[in-house]
Amino acid sequence: MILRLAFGSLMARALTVGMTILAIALSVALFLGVEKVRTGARASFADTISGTDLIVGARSGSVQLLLYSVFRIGNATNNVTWESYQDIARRPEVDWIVPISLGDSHRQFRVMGTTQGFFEHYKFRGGQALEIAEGHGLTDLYDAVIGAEVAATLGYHVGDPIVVAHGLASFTEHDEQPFRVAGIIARTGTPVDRTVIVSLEAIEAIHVDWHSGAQRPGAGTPIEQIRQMDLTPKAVTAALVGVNSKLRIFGLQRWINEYPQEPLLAILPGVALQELWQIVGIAETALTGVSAMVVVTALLGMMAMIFSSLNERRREMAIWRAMGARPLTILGLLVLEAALMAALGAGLGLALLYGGLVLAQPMVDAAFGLWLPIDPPTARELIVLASVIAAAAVASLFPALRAYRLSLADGMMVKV
Amino acid sequence: MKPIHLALAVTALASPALAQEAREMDAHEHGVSVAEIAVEHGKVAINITAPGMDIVGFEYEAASTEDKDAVEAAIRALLTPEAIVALPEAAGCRLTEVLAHLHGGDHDDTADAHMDDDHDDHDDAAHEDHDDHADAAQHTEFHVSYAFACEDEDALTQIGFPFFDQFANAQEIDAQYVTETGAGLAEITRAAPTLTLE
Amino acid sequence: MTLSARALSLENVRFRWSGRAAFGLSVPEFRVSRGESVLLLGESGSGKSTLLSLICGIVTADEGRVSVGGTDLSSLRTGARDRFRAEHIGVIFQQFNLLPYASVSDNIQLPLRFAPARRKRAAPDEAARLCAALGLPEGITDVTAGHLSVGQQQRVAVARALIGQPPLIVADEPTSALDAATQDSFLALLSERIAATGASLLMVSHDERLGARFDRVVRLSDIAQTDGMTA
Ligand SMILES: Nc1ncnc2c1ncn2[C@@H]1O[C@H](COP(=O)(O)OP(=O)(O)O)[C@@H](O)[C@H]1O
Ligand SMILES: [Mg+2]
Ligand SMILES: [Zn+2]
Repeated sequence: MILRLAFGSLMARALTVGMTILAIALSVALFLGVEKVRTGARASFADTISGTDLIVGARSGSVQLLLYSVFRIGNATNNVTWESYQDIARRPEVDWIVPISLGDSHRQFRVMGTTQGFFEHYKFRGGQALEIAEGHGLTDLYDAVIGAEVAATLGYHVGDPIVVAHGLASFTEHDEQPFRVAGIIARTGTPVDRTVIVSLEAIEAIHVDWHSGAQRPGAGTPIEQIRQMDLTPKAVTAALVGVNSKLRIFGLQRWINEYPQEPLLAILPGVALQELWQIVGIAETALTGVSAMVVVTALLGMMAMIFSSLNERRREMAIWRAMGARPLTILGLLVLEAALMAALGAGLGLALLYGGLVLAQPMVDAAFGLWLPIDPPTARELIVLASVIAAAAVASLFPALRAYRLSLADGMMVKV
Repeated sequence: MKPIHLALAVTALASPALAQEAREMDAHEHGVSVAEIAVEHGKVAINITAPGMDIVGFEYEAASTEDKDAVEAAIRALLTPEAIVALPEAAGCRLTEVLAHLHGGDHDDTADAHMDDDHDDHDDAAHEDHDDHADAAQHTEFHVSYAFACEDEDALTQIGFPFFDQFANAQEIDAQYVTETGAGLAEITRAAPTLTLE
Repeated sequence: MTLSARALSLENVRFRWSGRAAFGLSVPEFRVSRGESVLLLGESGSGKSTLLSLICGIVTADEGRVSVGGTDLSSLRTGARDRFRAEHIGVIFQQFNLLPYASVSDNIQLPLRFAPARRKRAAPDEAARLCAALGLPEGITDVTAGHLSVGQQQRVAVARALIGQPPLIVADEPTSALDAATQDSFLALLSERIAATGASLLMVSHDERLGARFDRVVRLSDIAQTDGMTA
């Protein structure tokens, strides 16, 4: 009966109670939403590379190497010489090795030179391989295979010409050696979608007339002549390595890191990713903190609402008292009401979250390549909801204690 | 873990300070050991590098018989894998190789015990550094590596570290691990001395 | 007459509200017998409600004894006093007696929630029976109390005071919110129902005309001294 009465009391104040519940619901939805995006982003990053045991680059920070080689964020400060690359490739632990050459661009997208091996060994989302949706892979020197987003954004089709620009955001174009779209890769949700892939030799070819970053003046070498040339690169940006036994990863990593001829760095993508999370964790914590503060604000609002309702409810409290309710029962009643409001708010917040996810999922995927999974609430989320309800009960203790004292002082005949 | 017979040999190797440390990026920090753990097809390889401070309580070259005994006792403890790492009983793991030594200071004490089988399987690369490595630094470090072969690889869900019970000064192990499904970083502490492998 | 035969007795009671304009009340002696109905008359602000609060054990006397049915209220701890009130006293206010958001039947049964013995005495359909006996329309028990007229609310308050037959009914100006015609029929019903259960009634009012229906009429000024009046 008490629960029914508490519920009735809330219903009787539908507007203010409704606003309070809505505030709690929105704050809970925001908090859980931030969590979802956070874990979604982590999962999405973690899904970007799988099956690669080591990434090798010039010595820098492990997070930096991970970011430029896999996520195309930032730039390499140095290259890996072809000799070192060859030395690593010859190691007995190496099962496969794929070179990556970055530096040029096409419009807002990066151009990456690599080998056929990239299509065989680059795996994402738990071992999924790249798939050519249209056209074919790299066969000719001037073939380019483009990511799904490149194709969608620029409206490219198989057979369209592509001119690569030198460097990032520069006006110099390698226009004397145009490429042709040979294939379009099916959407992956990874940075591959935003990449133009050409062969390693092609990167070498377009820079035949370039020396130390500047174009040699005069007419360019004719394409026919270039096709006859030895286009083995002098250096690559990074290399993806697969080992033949996981047990040998650390040994190979140590060998590369101690490679005397050139300062190199080999990283385990999973480990570097976790290091990245440790850095990003600070921002994440801040974000989580802010959204937690929003929940706290909503609960404070609820507390203020209960406080301001106390005066008009003194009469009600006097009735409870006259009927034999102890002051403690009155305290419990107010706490129960607060817990009910918070529970309704939490439930509504969860509903808002799922509603929002259904709406936002395709948009977030399109805009950020971030796939937010719609799963049943996790234990962690349920704990968050339970904590919100518990915090509401605790917050309501303050007005409830005031009601307790009022009901003691008022006696039973409150002046109306 | 089945009881195993270990041939213990402590040899002194004098070697010049040459090679640089593999984890030179990791500052030598008292209380913090470093571990590399690889798991594949029921095979487990564990390398642990621990500051001398954590293991014997000093990092100078052992001169007194007392100190030398301490080093020898520590090596002996490290060569007893069940005192250092605990693999799940259900996995049915058998030690195939263990190797422990102290380096830094003027001498490297190495104790090496190979199980008779599986020897060819052993990665020579892991051994290379023993011949030439030493440390110019004042700090001494203990290295130990274990290799296990397990019957039930699915039961290899976690690794416990009785290491902390063995060495009272050890507080933390910064572990890098790699399994068939992925790699990661983990901080194993005295309070939570278990690594969970996903 | 033994002490326990009295429904209510006050002896040398002194009470003062805490606060700046503190109002004080002292009652040397006041008694109500079993089954007796008493009308206590007094001006507004003379301390009638304060006296009822004392009798109900919502506030406690600074000095003296307040006993209800032979039990000295000051001998009870606060929790027990609240329980005692729920078990032994039916309370009717001037107005706004009911929780407006609760149904009539929940309102009537509210005191039973805090009084197990009284709950046992009350038959499952007693709320409906009382409503019928008080001339309330059938089916009213499911109606939300806030939707009733003032007269209906006061009758529901009577039903609530009577349920489970507490030995003492205390009414604080229950007719002052009613118009003259309704007042009379309400009082008639109240006296009749209380007579039927054999409970004692103590009603306070400032309206001298109501005296006829009571066994005894007492003026507050005759039984009590007050001071510090602000009203
Ligand atoms: N809860 C209270 N706290 C302090 N003073 C009170 C309280 N209730 C009543 N009083 C004081 O007691 C005096 C008598 O009030 P009351 O007993 O309500 O009179 P009546 O019911 O006869 O109108 C008034 O002066 C009033 O200010
Ligand atoms: Mg009054
Ligand atoms: Zn270029």
